[in-house]
Amino acid sequence: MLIGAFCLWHMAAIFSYSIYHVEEVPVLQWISDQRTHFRPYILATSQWQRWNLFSPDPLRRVIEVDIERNVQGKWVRIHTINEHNVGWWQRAPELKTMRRMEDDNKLPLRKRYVLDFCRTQQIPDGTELRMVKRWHVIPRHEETHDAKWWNEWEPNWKEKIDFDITCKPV
Amino acid sequence: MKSVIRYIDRFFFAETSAAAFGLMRIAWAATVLAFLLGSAPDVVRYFSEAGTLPAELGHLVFRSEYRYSLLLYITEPMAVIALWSIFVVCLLCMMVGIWPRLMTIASVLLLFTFHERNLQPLGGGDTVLRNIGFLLMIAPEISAFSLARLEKQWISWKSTGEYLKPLRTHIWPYRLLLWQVMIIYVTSGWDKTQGTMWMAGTVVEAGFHHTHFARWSKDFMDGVSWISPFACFYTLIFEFSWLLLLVPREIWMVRPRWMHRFSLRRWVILGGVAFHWGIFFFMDVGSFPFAMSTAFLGLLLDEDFEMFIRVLNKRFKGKIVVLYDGQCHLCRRSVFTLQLLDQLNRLEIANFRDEKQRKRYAPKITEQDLDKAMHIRLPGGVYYKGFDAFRKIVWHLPVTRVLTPLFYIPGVPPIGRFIYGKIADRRNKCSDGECAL
Repeated sequence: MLIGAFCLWHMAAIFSYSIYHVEEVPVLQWISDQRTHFRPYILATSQWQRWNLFSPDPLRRVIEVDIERNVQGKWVRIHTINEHNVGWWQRAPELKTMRRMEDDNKLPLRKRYVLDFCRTQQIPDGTELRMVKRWHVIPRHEETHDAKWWNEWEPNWKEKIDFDITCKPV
Repeated sequence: MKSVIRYIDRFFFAETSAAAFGLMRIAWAATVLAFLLGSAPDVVRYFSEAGTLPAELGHLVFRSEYRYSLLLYITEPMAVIALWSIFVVCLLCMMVGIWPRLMTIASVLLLFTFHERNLQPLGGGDTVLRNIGFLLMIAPEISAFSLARLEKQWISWKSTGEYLKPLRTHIWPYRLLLWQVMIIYVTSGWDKTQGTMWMAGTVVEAGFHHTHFARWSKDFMDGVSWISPFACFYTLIFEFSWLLLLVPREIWMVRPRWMHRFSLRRWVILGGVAFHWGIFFFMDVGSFPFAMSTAFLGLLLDEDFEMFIRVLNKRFKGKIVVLYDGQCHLCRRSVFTLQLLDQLNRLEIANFRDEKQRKRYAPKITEQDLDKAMHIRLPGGVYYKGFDAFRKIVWHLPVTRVLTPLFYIPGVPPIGRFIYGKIADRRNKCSDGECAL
């Protein structure tokens, strides 16, 4: 009996915690509103989940990050974080980390990332580094385009100097 | 009321094979281990106080409540590496099945610990692994295909000559797993209908040109963009098709009779395999295809294993008779292992020291010849011995079948025959439990 009740509870909890964009369906909206009751259980058991993979529309923003070093007044690129410069086994987690720290309110995370770069690359304390962000957006199409169109398409890269920082022990 | 209670009882507590969750345990541990080893160079960066996410910046990433992680207390780089190493050992034990229950609980809790420390690098596959790991942890029987089970089998076989009965378990962990998989696909499908690009069929071509995910060169991805509308609609149909599994089997019986032999669940699982490994071919989405394939293993039922055996045995009739030396401990152990691996039930074991059995299965071979090497008789009446017999058997065991071509590589058979001969000569030096080869 207890096991049966637990199963129903667990099923209700993950359902309530996984539904979004249901404002127009009253029953589903009501179920979604009940998630506060399930919250302690879901979070404490690490069962939190959100299945918005490539949806509602896919990620179209492509970013790359350069780390540049100040060498006698000139900025020299010493590292680029993109799909070419991380190992295939690190590609998904490292690029995900980069995407997730891109928001404006995550500036302290990006600074920390560069300080960690100083540590791992053994760059001397006091060295000036800066982060340069580059991005473009893949076009949103309402109809499919053929191979020729995509062949001729060139990404419209934009670039922004994000911040300067001086290497120091962390 | 009684019938409702009976229905609920049957729904959650009907018995099913425990093999599926045993396979899922192995696949889960292997997947987590592979990706954990991939993160080896970044353990300090991702999970220690010296790395990219110290506690003081945690408020930018973490929730503040109901969050538990050993790594909130273990923060020094060396200590984090030590915990990571313990995690690796637990996963290895879980995979091969040394203390499977304990090691599964330890591995799942350690996965939670690492994920709750830094969720920045986590993707959908990591979430799936957490979700199904929780089910493995609470499932009542996960020891199928484990060394712990093997030891029990050996004790039983040695003392009674019988194998233990196949492990059975209640079906409720399967129900929870099926519900979890349905939630993944249906809520994901629902989210897709809220945008415009999935309905326009242009998501896949955009995804193919996102360099973080695209696996091949731009030229190649340009060339295959034409599949975008088909792949988009396949995705939507496939994801919502999981809803059909909510329809009770009794109602499905209204289908035309010729459709009864097709299992809808099996078709959606096959659709899932095609879906995820199709994505894997074109795009790098981390551990997601591996995690979902692991979940699919847990969704196999008795009928699927039966079908698997039926399909593989379709063209095979009769039995392969294995003639072994019942007085030799090494031979008894080998036969014990062969029978365990004989999932297709193709082998028949005969002790040639028993005159009746010898006369029945090998009337024209002397006991002296049989004593020199293991002999097998194929259903057609052809005999093989020694390494060649071993090579034939390898093909008929599902677990070892994939190794068969190795034994046909030029140069391998003479070496195999030599090694086999040495072992056969010295086999009687084995006593119960150890061999002096």
